[in-house]
Amino acid sequence: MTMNMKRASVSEIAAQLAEDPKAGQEVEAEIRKSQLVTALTGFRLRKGISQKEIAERMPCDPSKVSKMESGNDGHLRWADVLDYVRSLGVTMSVCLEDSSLPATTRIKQHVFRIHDLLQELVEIARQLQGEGDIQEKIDHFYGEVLFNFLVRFGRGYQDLQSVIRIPAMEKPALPPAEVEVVEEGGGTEKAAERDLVDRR
Amino acid sequence: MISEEGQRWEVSRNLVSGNAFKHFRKRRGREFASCFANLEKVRVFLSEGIPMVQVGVGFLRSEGDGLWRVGQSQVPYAKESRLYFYPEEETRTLHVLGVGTKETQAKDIREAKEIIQKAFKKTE
Repeated sequence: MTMNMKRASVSEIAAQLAEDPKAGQEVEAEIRKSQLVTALTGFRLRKGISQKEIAERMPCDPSKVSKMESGNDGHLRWADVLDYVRSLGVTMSVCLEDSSLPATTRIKQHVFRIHDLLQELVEIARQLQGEGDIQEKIDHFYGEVLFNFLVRFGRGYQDLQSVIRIPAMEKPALPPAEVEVVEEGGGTEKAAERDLVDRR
Repeated sequence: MISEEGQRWEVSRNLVSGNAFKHFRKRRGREFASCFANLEKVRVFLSEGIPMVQVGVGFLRSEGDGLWRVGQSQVPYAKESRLYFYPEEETRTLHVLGVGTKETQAKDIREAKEIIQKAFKKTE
């Protein structure tokens, strides 16, 4: 269909239709109440598992699963969440953030977390050792993933630059040659080294 | 390249006027917010690449001819409410088409299907 469509978020649409900005805020508040529920349900749907199957694995009555998924985060029981997650075959990390900590500590924690996640990528790569064509496909996929990560990292870096002035000496070496990064093993490091030398 | 951004679904209200929604919210504010919050869940699932027919959740139901509806959930002493929409795959848009209660559903469904017919199926 080709019409001049004005698309927006759900809360914006709700506010427009109700002709009241408060309606949008109420929808936003409702959405915030069920972020965990939405994430859990999304996992189940992506894996193509039915509510009945989850109920059999938990084990519990299917109506309980339906109730969990229709409810808010505040209605969830911790034990049920653990059973649900285990039944999906996924692991769960709980992240506690202390907003009262000094900004410097929080910034460091975020950087350490990014580092930990990158280390997890290395660990997964170690587990994905194949032979011949399979290894080639794994390498290619990893290359694509890393390329997209670098794109996002670049955007994040630009966003940061719009907020703070990063001193020239401390600028990280961003790999500018994307193709090299995707297609060559170790390209990231080489590009980064060259970039760092150029900047100096 | 892997591109999650291309999969993002959004919502449109272009096919309806706000009157019915405005009146409904005045009488059923909590149901109104809950229905739209559930529509957001559907939008998130679709944006994650889950096909509409595989979104098996209790508050969502197909009404046939491409029309879907979400209901309210976890609203104490709620009036059974329905928010009708049409998921357009081509533009990744959820078109909001109507809102109402269980009592008015026959009329609401008929009207929503007429909108779909006029807007999307003229050439069929």
